[in-house]
Amino acid sequence: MSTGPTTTLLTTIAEQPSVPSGRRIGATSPLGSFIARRILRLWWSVVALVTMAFLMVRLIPGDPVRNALGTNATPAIVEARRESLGLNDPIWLQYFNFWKGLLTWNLGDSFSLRMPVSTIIEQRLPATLELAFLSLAVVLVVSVPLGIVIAALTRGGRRRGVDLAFTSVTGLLTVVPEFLIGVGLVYLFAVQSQLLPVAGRGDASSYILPVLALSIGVSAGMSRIVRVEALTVFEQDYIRTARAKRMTPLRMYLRHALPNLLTASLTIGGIVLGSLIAGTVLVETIFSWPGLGLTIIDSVRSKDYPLAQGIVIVYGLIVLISNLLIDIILVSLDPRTALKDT
Amino acid sequence: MNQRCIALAALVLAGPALAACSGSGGNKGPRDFAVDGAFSVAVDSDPGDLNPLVTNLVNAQIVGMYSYDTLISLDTKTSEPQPFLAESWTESPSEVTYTLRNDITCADGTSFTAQTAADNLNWILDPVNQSPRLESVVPSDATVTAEGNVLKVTTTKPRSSMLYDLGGQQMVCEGALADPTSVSAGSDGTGPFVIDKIVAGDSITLTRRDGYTWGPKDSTSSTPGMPKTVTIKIVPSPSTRANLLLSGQLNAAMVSGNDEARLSQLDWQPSPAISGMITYNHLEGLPTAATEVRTALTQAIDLDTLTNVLTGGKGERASSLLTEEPSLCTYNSVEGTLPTFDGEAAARTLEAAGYTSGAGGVRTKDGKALQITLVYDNSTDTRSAAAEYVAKQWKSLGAEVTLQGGDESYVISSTFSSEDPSRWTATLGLNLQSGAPGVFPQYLTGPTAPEGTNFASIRNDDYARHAALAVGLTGDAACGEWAKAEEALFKSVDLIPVSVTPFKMYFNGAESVSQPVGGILPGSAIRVLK
Repeated sequence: MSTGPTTTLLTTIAEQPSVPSGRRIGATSPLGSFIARRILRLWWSVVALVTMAFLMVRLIPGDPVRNALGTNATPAIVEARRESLGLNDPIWLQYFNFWKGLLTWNLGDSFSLRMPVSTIIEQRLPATLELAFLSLAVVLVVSVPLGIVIAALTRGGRRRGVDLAFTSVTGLLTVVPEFLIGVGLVYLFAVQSQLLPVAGRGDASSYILPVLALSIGVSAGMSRIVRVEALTVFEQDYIRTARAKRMTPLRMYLRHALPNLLTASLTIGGIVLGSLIAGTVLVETIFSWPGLGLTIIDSVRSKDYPLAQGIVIVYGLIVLISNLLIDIILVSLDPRTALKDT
Repeated sequence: MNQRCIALAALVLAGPALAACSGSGGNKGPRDFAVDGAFSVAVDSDPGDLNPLVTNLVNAQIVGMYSYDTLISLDTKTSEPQPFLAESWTESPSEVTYTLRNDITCADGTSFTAQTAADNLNWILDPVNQSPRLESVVPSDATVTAEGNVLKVTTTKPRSSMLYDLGGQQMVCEGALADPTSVSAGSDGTGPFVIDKIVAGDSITLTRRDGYTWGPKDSTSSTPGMPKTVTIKIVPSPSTRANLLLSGQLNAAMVSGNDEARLSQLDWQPSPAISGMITYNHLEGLPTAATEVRTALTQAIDLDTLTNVLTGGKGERASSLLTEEPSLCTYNSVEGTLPTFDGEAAARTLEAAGYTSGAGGVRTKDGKALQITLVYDNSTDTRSAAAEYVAKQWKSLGAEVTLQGGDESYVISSTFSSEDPSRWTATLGLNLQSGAPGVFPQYLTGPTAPEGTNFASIRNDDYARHAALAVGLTGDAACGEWAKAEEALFKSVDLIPVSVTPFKMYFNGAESVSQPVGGILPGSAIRVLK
């Protein structure tokens, strides 16, 4: 993922002394101008994304039309189709037309499926987003409490055993790729015990395995980060004071420590969302999940230019926009952050 | 990701849509059939547009076989044409007629007549519609007319397998012809099932219709075992297909590769497909333009070993170009025609052709090294290993081999539709497959790429002569000529069909009364078990 949010993380974690806010004459509100600058930057990122997507799919070796029509189509038919698809136009004209289509949400028809790309995306994006956001929810719900509890148990070098067990288990889970976890889960819960469906998107039970496959590794990684954050917070003077005053642990952790942990966790959550969406590509294949991940593999394999570039742009936009939103949220939550001046 | 046999099917030429309609492939006793059961089957990728007049995708044809019928079907055992929509037919090289049954109704209640069938073929013929079925199914010089219940198609040039090509086209009803986009995600045909619901990228659900009485093997909508609902699931991963089969969430699916080991308890039917073919580029200036070089290169390869490598020990040698079942002819044109494996003889053949050993073990002729660019399909480990074996054999013969691997569409674009016809010398992975010998001449004779489809620039006058004779004949006489034509091809080592793999369709809780062809199962052949 981009390095932007990572630096965000560092600046928010470190207790920065209040930075001069760089107020300029004529600037209305610092937040407003920050958002304006960020949206301008987003625009340039989108231009780069669209250009890359356009050029990259054309680098895939192979003839898209021959591919869509099969070897038994005659050269004349292939040529006619190529002409009608505009593939004989000069590349700059194709690029121009692509932008025109993008701005009017008319991405053309998929070469192989012969359906409008916008329809395909509208039909399948929800399934992918469902997986990604459910997994994100699981990651946050699991990793934040787990990280805090482990930090509370092991602060100041206590309970070495718990520390060791936690770091080894989460370390292992973090490095196992999600598709291996997925295959393992299917073997245990769907093939051996037949408790849950093997694949497909149906009732609530069909969501369990794919969401678990996506979230287990990320939850493990994130709970490690939350734990380190929590350990830092627990060493702060105000926690020590609270503890000295015999505040109940529940109140101390939930009311005093948690809010100070959340900024960092949310920032990582945003980054994690991007990787969760990328992770859906493999998980969807294992679970035959009718989302975009499954579609992008097929479209790249079959050189389906309109479909592949459409999906790449959608994926890219999700990551760019979620990063932007997180930055905006962080700035409005913590006005001291140095982010505002970027 | 894609299952190999379906990926292959991208190269399957005309004729695969011909429904097989006989020969249950197991040795099972009588079984209890479920009445109004449910059947679910897998395809490996999204079928896309479901209108059978505009699609060439095999997955769309698999779905189409549930909602659409064809004029004739082909008996998988005898390869004889069987009545379907047509109850009788006549055949000559440039004219075929089909006499249609007069009790056929579409799912919406309208009747299906010879005129409807003619409208289907004329729609494909209309260049405005840009149908990929033009020429591959309907010859562009065809004239299609209907009179009473007789459909007549005439062509100006003879066309040997026209009866089967046209007979395998899935036919839509008038409503679909008036508004072709209405069946892109729906159905309007004469078949036993009607598309009910489509969940994009996930599944297609069909429901059985009433009053279907013209299915092959006397299949009707009230035959015991005919399912009430059919669900076609899109499952790209063969492992997932195997899991679904084992857990009973799928009744039928093609599975190949390592996952087959887990399915040994299930019933299966073979759906054999060619899995290896070597084609030499005959373009002027390339070493393989010379028959001696092609002979030597072939002598250097043990085709039995290559078959073992290609099919993981499961397949067998191809005995002719007709590697699909059912095929219109049965003959062995490979035996005795191809050069036999003999490394020393290969070296002698090259010496005789003027290639002498040079520096670094590379043979040269007139200062030009023997350079071979082998384009191969690297999408499975067996195919990559096969290419490496071939390259190793050729290197030890004294050739300088460049291996260029890619997925099947890379292979097609580097050979079949390459803009530079000289960029490849030989290919392993471009598989021409059909059960109809008349399909091949368009790839092996005539104008070369890029104008024509003779992608390997083959000029084999004997083949062309016998093929032209065969086109003018029908039945056994035609098959005899086709066999001679193929023998001519193999004698001059123009291309080599190497191996056939018995891809399998596995069944759990259901069976089929006919054998799947290229993964395509006729909708009316399914019987769900209790």
